[in-house]
Amino acid sequence: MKRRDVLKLLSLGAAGLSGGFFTIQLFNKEAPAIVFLTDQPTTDLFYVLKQLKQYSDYRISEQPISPVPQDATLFLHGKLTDPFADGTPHWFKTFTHQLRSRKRPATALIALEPETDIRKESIIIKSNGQIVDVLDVSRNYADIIVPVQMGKTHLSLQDGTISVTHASCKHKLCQKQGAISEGHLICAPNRLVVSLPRPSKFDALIG
Amino acid sequence: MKKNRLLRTHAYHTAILIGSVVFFLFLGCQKSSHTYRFTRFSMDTVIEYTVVSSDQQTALKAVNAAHQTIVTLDSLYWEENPTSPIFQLNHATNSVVLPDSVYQFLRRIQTYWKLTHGLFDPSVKPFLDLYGFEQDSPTPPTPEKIASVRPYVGFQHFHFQPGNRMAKEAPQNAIALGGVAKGYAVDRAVAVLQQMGIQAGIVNAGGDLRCWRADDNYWQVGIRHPRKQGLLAVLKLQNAAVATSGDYQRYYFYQNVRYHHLIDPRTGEPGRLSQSATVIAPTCETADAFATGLFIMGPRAGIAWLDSLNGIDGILVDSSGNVHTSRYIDRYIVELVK
Repeated sequence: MKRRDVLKLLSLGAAGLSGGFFTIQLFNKEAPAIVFLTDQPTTDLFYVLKQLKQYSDYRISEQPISPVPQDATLFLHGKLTDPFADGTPHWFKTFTHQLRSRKRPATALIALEPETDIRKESIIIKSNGQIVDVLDVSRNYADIIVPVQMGKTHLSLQDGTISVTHASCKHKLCQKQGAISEGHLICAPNRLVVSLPRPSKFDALIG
Repeated sequence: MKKNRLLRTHAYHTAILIGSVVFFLFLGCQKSSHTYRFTRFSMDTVIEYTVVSSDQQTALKAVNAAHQTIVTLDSLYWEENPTSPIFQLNHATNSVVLPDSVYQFLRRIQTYWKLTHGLFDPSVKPFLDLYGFEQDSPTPPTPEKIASVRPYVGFQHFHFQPGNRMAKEAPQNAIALGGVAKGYAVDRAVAVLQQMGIQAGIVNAGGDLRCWRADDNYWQVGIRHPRKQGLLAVLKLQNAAVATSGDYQRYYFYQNVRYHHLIDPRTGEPGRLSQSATVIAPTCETADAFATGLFIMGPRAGIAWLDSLNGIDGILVDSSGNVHTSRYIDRYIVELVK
């Protein structure tokens, strides 16, 4: 190997190492993540947080939705679990049962994610608990194809808002959710979760 | 010639190498700041800490210390905690000696009570208890019941005596610090975070928020609309506190009438002039107390009152949904839904 090549390799290596600093930190998978649809956001959120108090740090997002039945989903170690399966916490079974037995439609989607660092620029797409894509929120994509259990789901990212343009599930609730600029897009049948970064518009929400 | 070219090539590659190494070292050494967010539960609400720090460990350490302060204050100021001085005061027949910090806090409460012309009044507890907000299917009290406890409401029935002693005129006199204790706790938590070297951050205790930062940027804070989905306003804040009192925070419907927790000390009934009142003030304690006062005052008296105060601004949504703002609110507004 010539001296010139050694120098080239060294400079490439150094550049690569510096690039490594920007690697995105992935989710902490120890604590469960919970997403639920409710007509009583505050009361239910307090209840869930009381149950989760052994885990310290949660990123919570809340967004209004067009009316859908109330329900809850639980992600354990990054995987969506059956609420009534063995091993699911008892309180979560009760909570899910309670939500499903309510007659009024849900008006809000609440997501609790065990995470501390705010990633301001990345949209994370998870299918069946696995990260399948990470997008830069400032880019525009007319068609993002995500392979899911029931085929393919098509997403579109335009001006910081993401939407499902074609859903492969039966009820297409994810498609009906419309374009969102914060929080989460969820397709429960396909175990697809699209997490948007913290709202760039504001740093805190009160009222 | 050939030697010269070889030397130039070597010089070129050496420059790239040195440049890359310097760049790498620069990245390795510089302490870039990240924003970390932690969520905790205390004072019966969700407390969000947003802190700017060079590393997660420092941020976590500071947040843990700040949260410990809030937990301690919760046990001191929660009137239902049998060991709290406030519980002892409420259950005393005559007078009690209070810890200095609690005594001083109640002194400040007295100031807010006076400044809001008696409309922020923590001594409405006897009224509040009649509404049964803690019950599963509550019903509002009859006018007779309200009249029966009226003599015991009013902060003028509490007297500050030497030696941190607080006296009350009747055993039934009682106070509920509800909202304002949260504001005080936020102020204390911010002080702890600042002492631990956090240069910028937000503490948001279920809507009582205080933020600070040393640079020229702003924190953007969204305020929920009391009725509609979405936001009433987006504010830009640097070093300020903001609190909102709303009739949608703790309420029930009885015979299609909304009964909420913001009781008008004059009538013993929930304040009917506003849907929500937001106050921006230098401290969260002040913002909290004034938001309650502003809510009860309603648009006409409330906005005039805000404009008479220095450095205090606010937004009020009246009972018909109209939005009213104080004179100098524009300096904080990014967006306002009218």
